[in-house]
Amino acid sequence: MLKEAWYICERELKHFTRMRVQIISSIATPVIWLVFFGYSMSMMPLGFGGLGAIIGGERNVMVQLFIASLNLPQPLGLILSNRLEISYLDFFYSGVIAVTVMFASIFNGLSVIWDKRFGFLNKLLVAPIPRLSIMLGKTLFAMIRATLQGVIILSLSFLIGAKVYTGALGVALAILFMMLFSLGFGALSTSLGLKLADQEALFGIINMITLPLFLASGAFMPIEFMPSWLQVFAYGNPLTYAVDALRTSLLGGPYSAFGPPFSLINIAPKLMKDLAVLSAFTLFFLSFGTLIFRKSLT
Amino acid sequence: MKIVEVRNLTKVYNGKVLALDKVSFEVEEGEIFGFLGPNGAGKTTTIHILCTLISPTSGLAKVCGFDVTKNPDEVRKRIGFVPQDISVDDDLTARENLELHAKLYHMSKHERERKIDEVLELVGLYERSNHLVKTFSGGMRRKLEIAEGLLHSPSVLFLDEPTIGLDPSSRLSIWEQLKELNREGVTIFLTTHYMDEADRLCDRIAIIDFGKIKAVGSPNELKRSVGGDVLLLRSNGDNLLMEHLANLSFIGEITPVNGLLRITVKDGEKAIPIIFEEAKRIGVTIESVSLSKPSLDDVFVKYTGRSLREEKIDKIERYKQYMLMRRRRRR
Repeated sequence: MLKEAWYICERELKHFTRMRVQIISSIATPVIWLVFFGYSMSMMPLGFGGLGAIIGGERNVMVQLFIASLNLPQPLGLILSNRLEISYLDFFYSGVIAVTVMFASIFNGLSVIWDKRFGFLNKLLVAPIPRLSIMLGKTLFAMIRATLQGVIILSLSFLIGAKVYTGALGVALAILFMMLFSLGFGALSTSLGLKLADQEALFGIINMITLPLFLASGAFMPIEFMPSWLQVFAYGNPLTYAVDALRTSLLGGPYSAFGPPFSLINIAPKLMKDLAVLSAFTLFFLSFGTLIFRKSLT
Repeated sequence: MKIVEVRNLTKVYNGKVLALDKVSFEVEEGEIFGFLGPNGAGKTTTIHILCTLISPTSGLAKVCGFDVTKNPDEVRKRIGFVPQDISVDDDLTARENLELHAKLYHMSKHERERKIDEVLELVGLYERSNHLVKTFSGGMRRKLEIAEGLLHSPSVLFLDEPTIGLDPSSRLSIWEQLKELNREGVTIFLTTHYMDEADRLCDRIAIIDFGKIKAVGSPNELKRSVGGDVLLLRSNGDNLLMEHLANLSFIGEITPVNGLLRITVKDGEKAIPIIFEEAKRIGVTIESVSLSKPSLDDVFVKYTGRSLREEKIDKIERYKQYMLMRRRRRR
């Protein structure tokens, strides 16, 4: 079954490598985010509501004075003072990677719709292979492409000065997490692609779901900064756990997206939680997609 | 041996559209069997059920002795499927398309290479095997599609409208290839709305309309069943003429089709003068007349009351639009 899935994935890889424009654009967009937005946010003055200034290292003294003057109740004050050591870029890049990986995998359903419209899917369905292998093959490609993009953005982040606090192990963990949740978003998109008749509908749905997922994920700012109703949404958002997993893996405990500060030693339970949520998410959509494949035969 | 066995096959889409209504037929090993019918008659639905793409609402369908709903994998191993819409991958080369197909059918590397060369040679695409399919003409794509259907040496090849939208010379060469394959022992099941295709290619034909099989037989048997020659006649008083001619003993059936009267007669050459005399007597002017030996279209009119020719335009138009969309395709 894995063998057949690989053959299907191989075809997608051939398509991908023959589309240079696609490769360039899929890397350029997150870089623009990272450089334009990340740097600007770091420089933003405090009076402007500047999140960058709160987290940013450069204005440390001023910020600390400011926080003290606010007389914030615990634990918010604690969280803020714990985050003072890193720049906004450090905070932001793991978020950009997570969002990039999500975007790279969530458009995977497009190829399914094309295959459906042009009859290629029928050809796969007529072949003596398990239905799950078709689903797996499609999502496997989403995973490879998205993780590749994530790794490229990760390297570029280092080039422009972002730091990793957890060493090679942290980077390896981050890559494993990228693989896991890109599989999940890929499966989600593939299931959508199977259900929908045309790509316009898929575009519409993706645009509708990605913006809130993206904004309420902790990619831009710590979740505690959000209004409480939005926090509720954020906790139900798979991307939140993806952002958190990457940030925790790359920065260590204190700077992750939500929850009280952790020391390096107890990153593990936090990552376990992310792992559990993301695995459940991925498994759900993989089985959901396979089910649709089976049902589409009636 | 019966390669395809269908009993009371019924398919209802969404609980309301009756696509197939208790269809029964058999295909013998080694024959070329054709489904002839207009758009929406149920041809594609039948082929999709036999190829395990959709399941029937009721009834039995067996391919190579295996039930398509109970043993779909056994069926899949033994069939080749050439869909109506060309579905080879534009962004791969011909060889890559075939390689993927061979891998999905679990062919060994050695077998794969040998068979791919063999089928490329057979359909005349060997020289172009390393070109991307998007540079291929419609005829070449169709040939590649057939090559793919044959690659894993199926016992039976299903083709849905194998020559739709092709130029006459491509059609001829595909017919030749299908005949050659059949000589080599491959059973062929095809659907078509082209009468010449059914006539020249098929050993036996089933005429299907509105989900029902109207007649089954060899092209000659079916044509004989029309009962004589066919006259197509244009006049200024069709109804009056119909009334009077119906009383004459040598006249078979009279059907108005596309503003013409289609009349079956025992002996056309002798019937024409008598019909003219009769028309003159009742004051009807005959503007034109043509005489022909019965065609499958006449058979179609006999069993369904409609001409198959009327359907053609729509289908070709649809196909052109499809190809246009395909060219606009972006990834």
